[in-house]
Amino acid sequence: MALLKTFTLHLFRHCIALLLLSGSLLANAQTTIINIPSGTDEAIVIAVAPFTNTTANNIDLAAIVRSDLASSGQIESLPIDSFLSFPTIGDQIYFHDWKKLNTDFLVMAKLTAAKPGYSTLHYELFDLLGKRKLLQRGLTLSDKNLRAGSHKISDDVYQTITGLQGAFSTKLAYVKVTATPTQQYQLMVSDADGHNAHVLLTSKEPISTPAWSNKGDQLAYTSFEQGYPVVYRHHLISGQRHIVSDSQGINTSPAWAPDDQSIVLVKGHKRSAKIHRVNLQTNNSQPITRGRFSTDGEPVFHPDGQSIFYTSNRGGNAQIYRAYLNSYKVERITHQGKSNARPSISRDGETLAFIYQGDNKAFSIASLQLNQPHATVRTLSNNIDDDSPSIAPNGTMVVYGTQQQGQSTLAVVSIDTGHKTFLPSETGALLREPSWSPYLSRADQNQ
Amino acid sequence: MLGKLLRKSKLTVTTLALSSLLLGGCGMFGTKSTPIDHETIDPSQQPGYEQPAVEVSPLSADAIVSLSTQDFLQEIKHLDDEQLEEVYQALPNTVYFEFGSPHLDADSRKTLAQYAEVLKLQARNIEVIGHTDSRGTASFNTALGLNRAISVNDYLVLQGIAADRIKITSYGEEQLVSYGHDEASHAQNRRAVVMKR
Repeated sequence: MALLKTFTLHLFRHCIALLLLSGSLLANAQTTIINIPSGTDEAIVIAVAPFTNTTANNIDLAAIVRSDLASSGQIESLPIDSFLSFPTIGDQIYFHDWKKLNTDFLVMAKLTAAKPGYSTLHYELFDLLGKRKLLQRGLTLSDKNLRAGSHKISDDVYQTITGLQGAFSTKLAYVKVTATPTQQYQLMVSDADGHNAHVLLTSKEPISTPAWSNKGDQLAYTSFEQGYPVVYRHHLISGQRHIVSDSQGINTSPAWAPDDQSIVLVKGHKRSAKIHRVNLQTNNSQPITRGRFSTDGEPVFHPDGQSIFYTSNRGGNAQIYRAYLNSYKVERITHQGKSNARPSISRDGETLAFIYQGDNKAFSIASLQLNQPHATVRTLSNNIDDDSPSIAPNGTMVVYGTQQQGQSTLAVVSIDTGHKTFLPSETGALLREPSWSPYLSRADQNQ
Repeated sequence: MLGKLLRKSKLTVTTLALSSLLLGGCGMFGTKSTPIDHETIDPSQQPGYEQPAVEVSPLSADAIVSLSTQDFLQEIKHLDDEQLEEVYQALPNTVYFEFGSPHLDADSRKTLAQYAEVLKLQARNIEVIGHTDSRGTASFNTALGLNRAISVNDYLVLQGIAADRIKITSYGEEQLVSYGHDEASHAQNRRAVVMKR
């Protein structure tokens, strides 16, 4: 119930924003308000009809849209076997049938051949209760990346229905570890649903803590290829790498400033690890946290660039603190549970996701609303050893590392509903340390 | 007792006996565990064997561990470089920690004190690598592993090793030696290892 209220609040806020922003979106925004089943526990139900496909590409794009929308935890996808009809674009829609199935929205699409190597995807979204078309769009895609078309439909549909920008076209970076034939670490980049994975870097030594630049063009990460942890940054397109910090001891846990001009990271040699800020133009490094006896780590920038959130054991057990960069003022953020670590902050600066250790030995994913004075910690997972939460750019989901049947893999959890989706795993490979990309420009999506 | 025994033995026997006994002792510390093979240290089985003045009897691992650092120093200061290297190779190079702790216990300090005595007679530099178990977040564990390496560094410096001979780093939870989720496995992973450079 509380969840639903939060959700409705989100919608309301975004509707206002939309009203102010754009006349062309006005109609959608109003429709949105009307169609939200507020005050009940009923989820929004959407029917994604099988797509018409007249091309040679053998791919079920509708299934990808269904799976995207369901992973949000906010929208339920109607199973195909309960469909009473399979409408395609241009067909008459039997609204009465859909009402019987308690379906709120319908998506139809068709894929047709365009110039060689490309296809065109037309799609439409219907409001079944209001009996009206909400969306009608077309886009041309490379046949090599038709999945991007499905994710774009998911984004458009999600935004029209919820008022929130979809994050289905974004990417994940993570580390893949394989033990055979030899121990191997790979830095991977995949779609937000874990499919379409590409290798960025392969090493015999560990790779960890990948972090996206805010522009989405680079990843910073820790690599042990020199026999100790060194922080690099890596241009995704050119593959060019630069050392960010290779001081003696350890260099790890990089995070980008909002303007991508500096990186905060963790350094330590014969004194405890502390957080430093490295200017990427000058390579100058300045300490941010101080103190002889505490260990500080896992920094992330607040989106305003004025403060960082980080983990410190200055009070005994690990807890999350916030340090203001201009005043060096430090405040403790987490107070509940035995320990809290590895913060990730949403782009609007309102939600913190982190690893929460309650009274027992389990480490689970949790969230905290930062701008609510008496907000309580909400645990979103109940596994033994979850790690590396990273919030989606729209602030609604968290990707994290977890265990499934004894194997390290990745999962996504909805902050509003707690709905979990395991990402595709590979036999014999451990998937770890996911990092969710920012929104990426069209050019980066090969469209 | 051991010192007297070694001094009166022939050189080959001495070296073999000392290093083999030390190897036996390593079983206590886990990583370089080599079972004592009494056959190999039986002097009568060694080529060029001459009847020693005393009878050589293998000591138990406990006897080595209880050997005080002072006694140990007495044993090793007469060895030549090659013999010292054998002793060095046989020394336990790993110390273990309690959960969440960077503090050295009495056993660890004893191990490192012996290590320091050998290092003082040698010119080599070393690297100390701290490790943690898999619990907690991977990135903070890298920082916590560093604290273990720092503890070892500080103790070796206290024992008289020049700080610039010691390099330290941490692998956090990236190099587990035991993958179980039971306490015994976790305990094996919470360690600092001294490596040759």
